[in-house]
Amino acid sequence: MEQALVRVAGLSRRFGARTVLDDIGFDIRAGEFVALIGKSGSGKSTLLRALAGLDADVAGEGEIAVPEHRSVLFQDSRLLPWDTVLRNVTLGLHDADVEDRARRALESVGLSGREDAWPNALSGGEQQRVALARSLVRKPQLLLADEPFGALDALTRLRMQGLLFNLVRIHRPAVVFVTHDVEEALVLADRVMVMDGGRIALDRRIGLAHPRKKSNPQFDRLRDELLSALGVEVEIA
Amino acid sequence: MSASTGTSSTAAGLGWTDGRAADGRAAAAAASTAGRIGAGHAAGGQAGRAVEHRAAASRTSAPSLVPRRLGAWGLAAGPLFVLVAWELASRLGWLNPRLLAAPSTALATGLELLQDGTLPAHLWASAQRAYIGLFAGVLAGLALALAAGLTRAGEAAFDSLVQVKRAVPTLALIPLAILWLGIGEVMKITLIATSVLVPVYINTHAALRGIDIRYVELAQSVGLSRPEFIRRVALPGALPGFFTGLRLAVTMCWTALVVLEQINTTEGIGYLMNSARDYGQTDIIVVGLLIYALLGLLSDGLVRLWERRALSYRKALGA
Repeated sequence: MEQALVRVAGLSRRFGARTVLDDIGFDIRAGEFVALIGKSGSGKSTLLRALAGLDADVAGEGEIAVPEHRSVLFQDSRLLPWDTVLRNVTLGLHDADVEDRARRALESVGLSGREDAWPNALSGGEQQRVALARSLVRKPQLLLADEPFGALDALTRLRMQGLLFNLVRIHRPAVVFVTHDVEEALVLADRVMVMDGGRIALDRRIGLAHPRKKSNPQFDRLRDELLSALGVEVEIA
Repeated sequence: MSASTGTSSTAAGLGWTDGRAADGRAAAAAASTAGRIGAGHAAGGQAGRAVEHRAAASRTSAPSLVPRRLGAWGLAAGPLFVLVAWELASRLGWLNPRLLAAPSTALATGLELLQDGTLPAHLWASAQRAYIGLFAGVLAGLALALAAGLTRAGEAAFDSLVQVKRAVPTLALIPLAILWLGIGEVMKITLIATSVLVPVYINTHAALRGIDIRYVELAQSVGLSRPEFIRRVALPGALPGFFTGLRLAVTMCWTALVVLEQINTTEGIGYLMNSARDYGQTDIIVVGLLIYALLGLLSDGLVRLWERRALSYRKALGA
């Protein structure tokens, strides 16, 4: 048995009287791509923020073991508007070769030549690609993504899914990918966790081969299973 | 309306083509980076053209929700109209020259004073006071804002004091300032500095306190140290606020002079205007007013130019 990269046990988080995470526990192996889906308010973002260590002001208890090298991909690209694309990618890094690495990361997301551009001059998809480069240049063992493509249009979104999938294959970080889109989860993930009312309602390994086609009947069955775990009626009369 | 609809559907069509092309390439694999860059540039060019089209359309038909930018002449329209009306009123005899001189008379007087060296001497004296005071005040305001915006001790120590200063008019401080600092230049410069300190402090401090919490999270997630956070996030984030304060300050430093130059001095624009009042020389008073206006506009223009360069990353309305 391979040792877990991420280990969560007895994790609870509360906002006032409301329990948002209720005694959650799970492991994630190195290189595993986990999609976290759930309705609004199911606690998926709260769980991700807990893993990212961005919830110091939230009440709760539990154990979280995460690797030191982790990156966060936010829903908005969250680029500093006053820094160039390149300086955004290298933000907080000090190694001697960081600029070369950043240029290569930008190349890998299809943005070489835009190093000196201002973030505001880029489209939404391009900005999110810069954010992806900023995450990957840190060589994370764990990539935490909070609905990173949620604000993009459908076409850009498909391209970003492909890009993320390919890059994750190369860099092999473990990924926790929050989304509300069941199909996005099924296209990308090795494992899908469905959250409901602050608990993990379903933890399902997805054994389909890549590339995954939505026309595949197995894909269809899994989607129905996940949707019903989310409490959505699939039948349309 | 139909023109702009047509343009936007064209733009959407271009985006669609670009999207499918790049999608295919992404599936092909990573080697085609160069091709994708090409597509990106092409898309950028098309987007630029689409924007131009839309601007052209709005000029003819579609109502624009934001005003288009005024050129230099457009901005000058208001003042020019006032000048022309004023001149006409003087020429037609509606304005008594003992109460208000015509702009042309003031201009002639101004040129005369300029040639005989009176005006440059007064202007130099005033400019020294104003700009030394401005410099000191901006530095002090900036230092206090940084201290109060970045540390709790600084906020506890300075914020309320500056708010109190803000509530007290500079002119009301003159009697005390004279008792403490005398009636010389030090008193005048100190009062100018304390008045320009306020807008610089208020705006810079507000901008520092208003740093987007999302950037703070980002800084946490990439592990920025506190000095790095201040340098990379807090200071650049506060820069727009600082410029707003500076624009207010560059005109404020001159307004304080008018009153201060009534005290124990025989040179300066304020002195010139006040002595002109004693002799009923309204043309000289108007010269002083025009100089204030010109200096104010000039200073503001310079700061705006600097601001536009420093904040060139912004693409905002009217920027």
